[in-house]
Amino acid sequence: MNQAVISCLHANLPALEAVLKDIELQGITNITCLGDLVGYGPQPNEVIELIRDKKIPTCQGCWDEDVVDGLDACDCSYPSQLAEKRGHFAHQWTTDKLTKENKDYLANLPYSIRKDKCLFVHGSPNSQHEYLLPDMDAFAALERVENARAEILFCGHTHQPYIRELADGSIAVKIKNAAPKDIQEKEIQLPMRRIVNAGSVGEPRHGGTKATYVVHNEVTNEVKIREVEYDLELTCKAIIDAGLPQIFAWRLKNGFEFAEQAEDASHVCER
Amino acid sequence: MDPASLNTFWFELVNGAYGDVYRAKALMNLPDGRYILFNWIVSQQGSQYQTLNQVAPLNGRPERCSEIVIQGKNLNFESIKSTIHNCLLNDAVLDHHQTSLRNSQLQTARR
Repeated sequence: MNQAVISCLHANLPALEAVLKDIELQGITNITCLGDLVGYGPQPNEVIELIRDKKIPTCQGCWDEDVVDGLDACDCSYPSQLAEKRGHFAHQWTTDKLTKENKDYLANLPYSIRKDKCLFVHGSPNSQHEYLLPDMDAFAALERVENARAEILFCGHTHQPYIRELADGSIAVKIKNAAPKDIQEKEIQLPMRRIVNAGSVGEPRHGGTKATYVVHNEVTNEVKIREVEYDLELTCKAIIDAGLPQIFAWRLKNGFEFAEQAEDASHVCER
Repeated sequence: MDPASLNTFWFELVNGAYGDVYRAKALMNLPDGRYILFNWIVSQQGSQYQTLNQVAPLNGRPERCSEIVIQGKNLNFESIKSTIHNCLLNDAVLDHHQTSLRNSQLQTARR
């Protein structure tokens, strides 16, 4: 049985509609969303309402948290002053546009969703703001999955879809007892763990303009990254009509994220 | 100017985010006192950058101006102006940055 995992919708309604249609065409009814329903894009209420109408289980993303609680991310969120100013503008615009009902919905989203051996989070099991990048240190990556007691960790936040297998892991333990020379050693083999990043529906960051999401076969454990074309012009027009900066439309049309984000995988957010 | 912001702005400018640019030249002051010449021509590959031998002292804003000249069509001057404005560091941030650089230079000199 297949399940679809979507993430980082960023208020891009045409992209979400295209992805949901693609999921429907494959006969998949089990969908999980990893958050960031809003932020930068022009249709925050419409996107939330579509997710609510479809009753799609959703985790809270960093943007979903910030529009409710106020900006509280540390400087790691933005690599430049320009990106920060653009981000703050989008934050204020989104906060002003959202209805109270939709803000309440975002406020009550869970940080994570667990389904059997799968754990679904926005950033990492530690924080919605932490990036799990494809090339992050393997020990740190394995620690995130092991500590979360998951076999497959589904995440988003980076907007770059990937599947990372952490195979042949082991933990060696050596204990010296009180009695002299009484040393016990043990090596525990770990089964293969996987981190699957669903990419982004509304703000692709993989070098192209297509929306991305993943399909996971719960029986064979196979994971596929899917790319879906959508009416980009419609979103760009909506950005301009909504009074958001024109540069957002240009960046989206050219396959760039709305505002660049920090890419330091070793950074631990001290928020 | 915030160097990372300037980098983004220049990339957007020469790639057509603010209209069709044929030629762009700029002299920009960085918070570490450097004065950089930016040069871009549509017929050439990539931008050229040159650090000029005129380092400003690390005590506030330099006495020289940053300048930019753009040739092109359908240029969105308001958007260019607003983006440049968002790249400018305020006095407090500039002071913080320069204090840290001065301290680092002092430490290096003491070694």
